[in-house]
Amino acid sequence: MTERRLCAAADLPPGAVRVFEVGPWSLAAARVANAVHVVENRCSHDDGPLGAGRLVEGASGSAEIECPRHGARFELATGRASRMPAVSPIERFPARVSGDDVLVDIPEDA
Amino acid sequence: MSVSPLSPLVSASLARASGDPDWLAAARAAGLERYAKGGLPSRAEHLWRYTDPVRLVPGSAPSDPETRFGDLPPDFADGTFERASAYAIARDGVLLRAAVDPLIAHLGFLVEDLRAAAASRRALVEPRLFALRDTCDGAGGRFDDLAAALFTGGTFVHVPRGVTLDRPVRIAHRVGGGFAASRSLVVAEAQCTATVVIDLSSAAETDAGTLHETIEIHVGRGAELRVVFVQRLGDRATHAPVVRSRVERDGVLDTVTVALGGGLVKSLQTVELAEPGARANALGIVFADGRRHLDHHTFLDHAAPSTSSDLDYRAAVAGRSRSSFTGRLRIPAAGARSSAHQSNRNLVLADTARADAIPELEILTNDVSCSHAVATSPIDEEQLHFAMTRGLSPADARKLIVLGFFEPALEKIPPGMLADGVREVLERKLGAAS
Amino acid sequence: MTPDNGPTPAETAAAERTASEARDIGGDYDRKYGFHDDESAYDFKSKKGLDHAIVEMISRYKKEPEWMRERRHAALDVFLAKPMPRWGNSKLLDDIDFANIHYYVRASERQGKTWEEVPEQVKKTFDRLGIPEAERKFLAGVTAQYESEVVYHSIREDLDKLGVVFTDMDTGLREHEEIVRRHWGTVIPSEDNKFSALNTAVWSGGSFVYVPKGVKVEIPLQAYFRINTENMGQFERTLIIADEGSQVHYIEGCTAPTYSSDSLHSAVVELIAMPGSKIRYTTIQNWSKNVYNLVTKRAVAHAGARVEWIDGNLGSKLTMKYPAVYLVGERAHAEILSVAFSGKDQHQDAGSKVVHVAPNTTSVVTSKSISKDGGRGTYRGLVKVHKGAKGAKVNVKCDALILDAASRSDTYPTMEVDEKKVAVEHEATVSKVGDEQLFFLMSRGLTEEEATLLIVNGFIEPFTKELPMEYAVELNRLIQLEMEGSVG
Ligand code: FES
Repeated sequence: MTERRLCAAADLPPGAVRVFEVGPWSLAAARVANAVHVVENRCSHDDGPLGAGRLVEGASGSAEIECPRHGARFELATGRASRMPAVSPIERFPARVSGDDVLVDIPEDA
Repeated sequence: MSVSPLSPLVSASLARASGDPDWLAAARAAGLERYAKGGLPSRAEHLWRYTDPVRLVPGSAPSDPETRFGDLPPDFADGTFERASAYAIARDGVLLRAAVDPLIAHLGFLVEDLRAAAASRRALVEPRLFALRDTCDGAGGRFDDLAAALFTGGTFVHVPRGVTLDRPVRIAHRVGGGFAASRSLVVAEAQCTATVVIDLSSAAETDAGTLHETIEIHVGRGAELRVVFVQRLGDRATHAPVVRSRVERDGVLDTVTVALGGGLVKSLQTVELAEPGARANALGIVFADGRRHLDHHTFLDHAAPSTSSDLDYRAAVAGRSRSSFTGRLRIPAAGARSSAHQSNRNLVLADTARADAIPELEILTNDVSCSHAVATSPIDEEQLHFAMTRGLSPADARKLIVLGFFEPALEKIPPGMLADGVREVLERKLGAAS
Repeated sequence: MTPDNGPTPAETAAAERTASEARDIGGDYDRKYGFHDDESAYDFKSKKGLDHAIVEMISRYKKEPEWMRERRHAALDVFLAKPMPRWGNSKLLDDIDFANIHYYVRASERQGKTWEEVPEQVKKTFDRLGIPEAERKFLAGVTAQYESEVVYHSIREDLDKLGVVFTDMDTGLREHEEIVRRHWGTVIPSEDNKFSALNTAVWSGGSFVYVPKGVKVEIPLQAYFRINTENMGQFERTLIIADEGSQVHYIEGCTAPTYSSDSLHSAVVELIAMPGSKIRYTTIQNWSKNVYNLVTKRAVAHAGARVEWIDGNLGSKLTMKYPAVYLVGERAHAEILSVAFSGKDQHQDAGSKVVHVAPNTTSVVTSKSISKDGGRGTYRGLVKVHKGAKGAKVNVKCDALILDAASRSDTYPTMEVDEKKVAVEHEATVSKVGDEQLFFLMSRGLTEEEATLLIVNGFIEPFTKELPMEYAVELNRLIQLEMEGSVG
């Protein structure tokens, strides 16, 4: 694991979703209140661009991201698919705000 | 989706064209224009479902081809023509040297650099080069257009009417770490019989080059042509081959496609059975391991009545690899009394590997016999068990079963030529995968 | 029927009988189903075209809860934003004129509790279609939808007492709001595709079925859908929930008159099969040949549950329908059995999707397609095996019969396998009626027409034998009508 800087915290205000290309990964970063979540920018249903989706509140009050292609939803905190047509989870990367920066942990060989 | 800047490609295309006859220069310009206009194929098109076209866009102009080939492949080495009727070596798309068995040189068959032939043998080349662009719905045109604009060279094989070559034409092609575009033309005139064996490898295992390659194949009336492609590129190489074929009345095209290497492969093969009685047999074996992404597409078009085709593609997937096979088979109204059969089998050797299959039938008339079948499964436990009761270790039993799975295609590689090499590669990979 | 032995004398006699019955029927679609009633007595008909005002009107009219009203509006935005699919049959899809459709039409104020209460003119329609008679004979309950609203509804008392809910979707939403809210749109979100978004925006009618734990509904529940108005859009919405260990069979039939301009039928059907339950959903679609039938049907099967789609497509101009089953619980099973008959100017683009998510899940897909008189039959299918679905078994078999040189058959299956311990098999064949078979039957005294019919019936036999008897008879008759005059 190597923690690296993704962007300035100010560039990811609460409620925003942004896409970053990091090495071989395309990532979607979202800020919900004070938490940042980084997931793979690829829906497990049919490779939809999750980073272009919107943030929604799930049935259990969890923060979720909705795929713009067919409406699948994923819990940002766990990567779990919470609504059809997706059924398998998406890749998630630990992320945090440290000072003015958003940091993300990406495994060397993922 | 952005297409990388065109200007270096334009000047490269012009530079390439400078040595070409006018008609070829014009064809390059037309190719470039279509490429620039077309935009990239969309991921929504099903042929691009599994491979992002952006990954095939060259980041730069083609590098200057290397002029040294390196060590010759083992089956070239003995200096006699006992096993082949001609030998040729190519590097980064350019034919460096070709030698024809002097004892049969009088038959008049040709193995030459395509660009040289375009200039010196216009009557043979011009009517055939680019002639297959629009067959089979022009499938896969985009990168084909790019390769038309930029190709640095390639091989021209011409087998005259009625000639039987009792030994294969053997071509070895090596690519390095840059971007190369090549184009070859194989013409089997009426009533001839020939086999062409082409193997493609990376100069160094770590070379991360990109090769866009187009091969056009013409099978004349009553001719029988076998073409064997063996691809053993390094793990980091990208390969985008387009092979287009056209078969005339009662001609037979046999292809054997072996894909063992490459990090990313997006292959398209089309066959137009253009006249009655034309036949195509297509065998393919794909072994994917590591993180390879191998995407093969075939399109068989029964454009004339009473044509027949038989396709058998087999893939084994190991490691974290992925193999996709899309096979389209079309019998239009003009293809009455045709018969067409396809089979795709996939062996899944690892939990982390993936195999996709999309066999497609488009049948526009009723007097046909047509089928396809797909099966995807792991190695059969019973077979494994049986092999082990014969005293084989589990690893050896697995090897044996996978090699057996590929045997129908391996058998078609001419003896003494690559078949052993392919088996060796497979065994080594299987040893590592188990 | 075994081609090598040929039919027995009894079979030959039966074929002769059915062939002559076919001639006796003598009518065509227009006479039997294609009539239409006077619309002057209509209670309400929305103006043509689609915007937020229409959506608002429908929702207010139905006095819906706020959340449903919001969903409709959001779905309309999704519908407007989504491009038309570029696959299936783009040419026909692009011809749909969404501005020229009535999105909501109501023929009568009230829903009939007894058959007598149904307005006379509507009752006549269903009488003519044989619905009350069928109900008396063998059904556990009936819903009849005329235009946008369900006009008649009944359920057998014993089922009612067991807590089985079988009602129209609007009533379901009113009386069982909590269950509906929890499940509605979870299997097929409105964003799924352009037509599921359209349905979510303007839905009306359809069935709501809830079968409590352990209850087995032995005889079928039936719904009948009828479009009467020209340029009408019917957007019914169905949700069926089979609770643990329960069992239910639901059948729907659909017809419409033949008009010179097109109607649109775009339903959304969601099935939820809880652990150990079983749902069978049978459709015989016989829309007239000016109806676009663009339907999204999807089921979720939990552990040990079984979902069966039995899907017959005879009518419509263009059908695009791919019943799906998501096998999310261990040992869940899916069965998709379909027949498509594509005649003149028809394109049946039908298929199936099975998604294996959990271990040891199994699925069997059988598709039979017949094309004739220039018709086009397309099978489009997806098999997806997710990582972790160890021991999944999939078997897909598609057979197409092309009856003449002008007709067409396509097969577009996709198989994506992401797991090692699986067995996925797919086979497809395309053929014509075998000359030898035909010759053999004709040498036994059958005319070519009779022989062809016998062969076609044999071809679809795996399908017909899964239907309740009355439906099987009806289907055979419809096929006979389609086949009439097909030779010589
Ligand atoms: S690709 Fe995300 S829902 Fe389909």
